[in-house]
Order: sequence, then C-alpha cells, then structure tokens
Amino acid sequence: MNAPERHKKYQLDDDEKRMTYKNDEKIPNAGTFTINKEDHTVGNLLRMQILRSPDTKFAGYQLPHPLMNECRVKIQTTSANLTPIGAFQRAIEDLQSEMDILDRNFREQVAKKKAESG
Amino acid sequence: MSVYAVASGRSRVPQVSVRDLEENTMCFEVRDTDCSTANSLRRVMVGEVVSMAIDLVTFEENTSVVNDEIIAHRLGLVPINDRDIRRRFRHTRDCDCDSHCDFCAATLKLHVSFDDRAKDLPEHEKNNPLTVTTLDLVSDDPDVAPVHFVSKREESTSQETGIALVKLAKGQELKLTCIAKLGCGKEHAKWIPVSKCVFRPVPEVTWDDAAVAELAPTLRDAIIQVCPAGVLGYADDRDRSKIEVKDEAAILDFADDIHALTKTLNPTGKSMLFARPSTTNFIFDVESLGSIPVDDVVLCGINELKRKLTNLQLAVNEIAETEA
Ligand SMILES: [Zn+2]
Repeated sequence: MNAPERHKKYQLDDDEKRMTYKNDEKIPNAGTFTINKEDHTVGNLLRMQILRSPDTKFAGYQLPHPLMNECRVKIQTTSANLTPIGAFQRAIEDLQSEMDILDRNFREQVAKKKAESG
Repeated sequence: MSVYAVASGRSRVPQVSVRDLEENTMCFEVRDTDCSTANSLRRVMVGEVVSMAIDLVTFEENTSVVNDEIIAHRLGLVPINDRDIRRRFRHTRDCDCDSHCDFCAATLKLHVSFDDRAKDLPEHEKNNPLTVTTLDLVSDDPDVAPVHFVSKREESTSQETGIALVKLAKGQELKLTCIAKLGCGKEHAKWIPVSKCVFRPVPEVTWDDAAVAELAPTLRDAIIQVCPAGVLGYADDRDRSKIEVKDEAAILDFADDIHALTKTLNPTGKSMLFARPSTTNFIFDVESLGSIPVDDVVLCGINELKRKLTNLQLAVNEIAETEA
C-alpha cells in the first residue's frame, strides 16, 4: 500500500530539477552531474560520447541504487579550457545531430521499402 | 588511443538499411554508429514507448474457478489496439479529471454467463465448458479494442478465436469492467509494445581463400562440418574450392571452432578465417505485438531519445548559466 507510484520511475516530481552539477573540489577540471529519473539509456550514451573526445581524461556513469531513480555522470577533462559542463554540452549536441540523422535515414529507408513492396 | 577516439566533437552519421519489413516484424541494419547508441535505442523501444493496456478491473460477479487477481492479470497482458491513440489520449496523471475520463482512458466491459450461452447451444454441447475470450470484451470506444491478429495476412488466413481468458462450467458467470490506460514498459511489462527487440553486431568475415583452395576436398568438407548444417557452405556447389558463410547470424558462435581446426590444417599454423563482431554496424530485429505498427515503435523510440536529449540540453544550459 505504501509503494511509490509507478510513473515516479521516469517522471520528474513537481519540485524536482532535471539535473544538478557538483564541481569536484579535489580533482582539477572534474565534476559530477546527477540526472534525475534517468538510467543506463542516457548514462551509457553520454559516457561513450564524452569518451570519444580527446579532451576527456575520464568519463563514467553509475546508478547509485536500484531504488533511486537517478544517474550520475562524472567527467574530468584534460585542461581548464574545456570544463566538464562544456564537454557535456558538446556531447549532447553531437548526439542530437546523430539522432536527427538516424531519424531521417530511418524514415527515408522505410518509405523506400514500403514503396518497393507496394 | 582507444577505439572510440575518433575525430573530436564530430558526430557520427549513421546509415540505415531496411532488410525486411512486414506489418509486425522488421529487420534493419544501422551502420556507422556505436554500440551505446544501438543499446539506448533498444532500451527505449522496450521501456519507454507509450502504449495502452488494461490497468484497473472491477469485478461484479466471478463464480469461475479462477481468482479475480489472476483474471485481472491476464486482462492486463492483452494487447490493446492503439490506433491514433497517442494523438487523442493523454496520461491519466496529466488529465484534469478525478479518476479517469474519455480523454485518458477507455472502458471495456465483459459479461458472460454459462447458462445464458448454453440456451442457444444444441443439446449435446450443453455440458461442454465455455471459453471466455477477449472477443467477449465490449469496448465503449470505437478506436480501442483488443488485438487478435498481428497482421492483415494473419487475419485473412486464420480464424478469429480471441485470446482465451477463463473457462466457465455450468452455473458460472463472469461480469467485470476494465479500464485501459496509457503507460510504458518502465511502469509494467504489459505496456511493452514489442515481443522481440534485439540487436547484434554485424560479423566482419574474411577467408584466406588461397589457403582453403590448397586443401584436399575432404578437409574442406571437414571445415564445413565443424559448424551445424547451414552455417558454412561452398560459394559454388560444383567448384567446391571456396568456403563461404551462409548463416551470418550464427558464424561468430562457431568462429573459435573454425580457428582451432584451420590452424591445424594450415602449414603456416595460421587460422584461415578472420571473423569478429563489428563495433559500428548493428542489425536490429523488432517484432511488434500488433498494438503499434513496428516501424512506429522504432520511430517512437528515436523520438523518445531525442526528447531526453533536448531535456538534458535545457538542463545543462541552465547549469552553465548559473556556474558562469
Ligand atoms: Zn481523464
């Protein structure tokens, strides 16, 4: 009877922020993003994209606990010229453009296949 | 340098080719992408594509041998046709109504009594058990109905028998009201719109054709017989000098066996096969339950990923402003 509502797994509460950021005080050019109501889908996608950049020294993600619906992404960059926030922004932009291309190509190819088979 | 260190900040340009597209199944290849993208796409298709399922069941009469809870669970798993629903329906939690209304839910009623049905049956069938199926569900919304066929072809080639729910015997009756709502696989598995959604890397295969051609014909047969029938074969059945992969999906499972054998056969001690999973090209196999057309499931998945990225972009820009 006291189970949390099912949609709380993926929908933000009214007063909840999508994401928070905490700068690492001991490690230079490093910080941790806490993304609420997200999981491996977004965490792994971001990590791999951020790792592609030669300006990245470290990128990793974790889900702290199966009952906490949050995903932490930790980033360290090689120099102060690019902050973890900048690296994050760049990864998001690259992924967005990849998804746009994937979307367009998928629609095109499905339409082509449908036209072929009548 | 890791394999992922490609040109910095350059996004990938994935290419798609559709191998096979039916009403409910599809097979497509995505090239020049990454395993993480492929897996995220798979995960959103399973977990976050919105569909409709029965979520609340009110029992008025249940004298069958099956418990209320089990019948309710079975009803929940019935795929509900969702034609144009995503445009018209909204999530109940986003709706203005108190519990549910026409904008966020559909009602399906079921009332089957053995004695009523038995009246119309011939005498010798009057004692046979009566099967209650999803055909007995009466929907109050013309757009909402249980799915009985995954495709038009199946509809024309097989008889509509419905999905069995309960069997009733003499004197038993079942009367209930169901409320179907929108939801997604992350909430409960009954909202998952696909019965299969997998991807695998494309194998990259090369043969040392010269070394294979040098072998005695019986040894070439031996290589082919290392794998189950149909995995390997001859490129030309009369020439029989060149071995080819016939079943691309299975070859990686047997690559080690082929390596071991061809190493012993080759005078140089090297394997005659070079096979490894691609890190950039993937084949998806998706099968829809019939509630949402299969190509729509993939498009909804891509859309969902785009929506997530847009949300994150807004959030990270806000953080960048406050930190600056
Ligand atoms: Zn409502």
